[in-house]
Amino acid sequence: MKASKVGLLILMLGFGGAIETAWSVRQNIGFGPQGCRVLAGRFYGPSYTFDAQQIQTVPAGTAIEVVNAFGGVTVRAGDPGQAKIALRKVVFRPTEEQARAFANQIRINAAVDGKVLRVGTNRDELENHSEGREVGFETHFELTVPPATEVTVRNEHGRVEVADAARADLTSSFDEVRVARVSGAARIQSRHGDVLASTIGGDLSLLARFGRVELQDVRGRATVDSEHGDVSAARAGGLDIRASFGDVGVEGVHGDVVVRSQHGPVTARDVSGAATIEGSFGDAQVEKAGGDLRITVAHGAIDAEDVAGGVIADASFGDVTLARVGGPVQVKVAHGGVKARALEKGAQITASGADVVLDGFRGEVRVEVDRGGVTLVPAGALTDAVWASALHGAVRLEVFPGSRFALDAAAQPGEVQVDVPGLVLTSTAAGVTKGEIGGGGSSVHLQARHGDVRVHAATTTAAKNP
Amino acid sequence: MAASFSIERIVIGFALLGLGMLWLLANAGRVDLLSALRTWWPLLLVLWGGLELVAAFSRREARRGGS
Repeated sequence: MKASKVGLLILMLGFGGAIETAWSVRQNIGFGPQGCRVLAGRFYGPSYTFDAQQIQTVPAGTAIEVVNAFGGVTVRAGDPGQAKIALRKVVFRPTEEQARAFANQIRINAAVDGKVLRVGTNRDELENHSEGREVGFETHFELTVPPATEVTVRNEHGRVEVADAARADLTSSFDEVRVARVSGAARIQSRHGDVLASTIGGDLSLLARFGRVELQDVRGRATVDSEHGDVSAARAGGLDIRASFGDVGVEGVHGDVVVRSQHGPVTARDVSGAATIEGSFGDAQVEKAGGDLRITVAHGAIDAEDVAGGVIADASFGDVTLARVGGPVQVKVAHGGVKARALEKGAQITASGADVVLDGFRGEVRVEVDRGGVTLVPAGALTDAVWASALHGAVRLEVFPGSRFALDAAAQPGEVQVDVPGLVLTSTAAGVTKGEIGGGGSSVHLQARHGDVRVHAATTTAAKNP
Repeated sequence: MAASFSIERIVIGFALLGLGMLWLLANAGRVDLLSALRTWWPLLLVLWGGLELVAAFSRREARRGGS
């Protein structure tokens, strides 16, 4: 076949494909109907607004359920015994007469069904007519309901705002959700839009797919499942957060915190209970935790300070930095080092690729480092056992007056240097030195392979706990 | 001297003619351009195939007449 024929065939099929694609887009996205355009869940084009209102008497304790699409829903507390339903109808038609004629067909459907007042419109009925399919229209509800009403909203393509309710159960797809001052529990599901929840008296359950999540003052426990967006929470009675893509920030939690984050940094401040943080790609930072802290970060650094309980940290491809830890510490780092200050109850540390520096520690310490050195500065007189090993690095220990221990230091290949007043050497051989100070006591074992061991009198002031 | 017979040129000619006519009718408000193009564009493939068949038969007849 000639090249010209092949070229023409490709051109023709490409032309046909473009036509078919344009047709498919027009059919499915909704280009075309006169006077309205639907793009990203919104209508565009000339439009006219008409208002309608209805007052519904409701018995005490009646819950409210609002179902809407293409339009916002606002629910606020008002007078007892009645619900005021205001509907703003926005009709997308070329002329006001056409828009008014269509708007007259849009009705408020409100009826008490048992203990629930159900509110909606006759959108389904209108959209089943041929004209209704072609006309874009929005229905915006503004409801004033009796105080302490349980509110349920199911909405698509519109902002949802609820305030001063007894309970809230909100579902929204393509716009922002705001909920404030709910005395009981709240449940929110949002697919595309930011979620802001504040002053929730009970537990909060929140599912967000695409959008920022912001929580404030949740008295109960908040459970957040977020896929694409930052999550921030302040002043909650416990938190359980799962976040896939976005930063997580937590502050002022009166209870335990659990954060599972996949692609984003995690910051937690002022947590009264225990904190568990699991991250994949991003640093983790914790300031002031009242309980134990357990952090695992696959690709990132860990920074924790002012932890009342113990710390279990597991990191790779990042350093671990700790300060002022009241409980025992366990750290594992691959491809990173450890810097720790003021550890009250000892530490077990395994690291590779960088140095380990412990400044101002108390309790038993065990450190094992590959491709890095070890620097140990106790908080005061050393009386607890120390075991430190460095492969391809040096080991350095500072000794304060009043220390009591038996020294066993080895450097192969390398040399052992001991310069501590009062430390009596009992054995010195090539690369191996033994001795004791203060009459002996706990074992201090220092070992360096391909590095030196240096034991000397303290020259710096170790970090003190507050 | 007669010009050589090119099927591709004939197809392109018909395609331009058809596209121009449809566009003109769309501008006059007689047809929906996208809808009409979507309905009728495979006709170009039919036209091309038909011309290829005619050309093939013509070549066969010419070879018979020559032998």
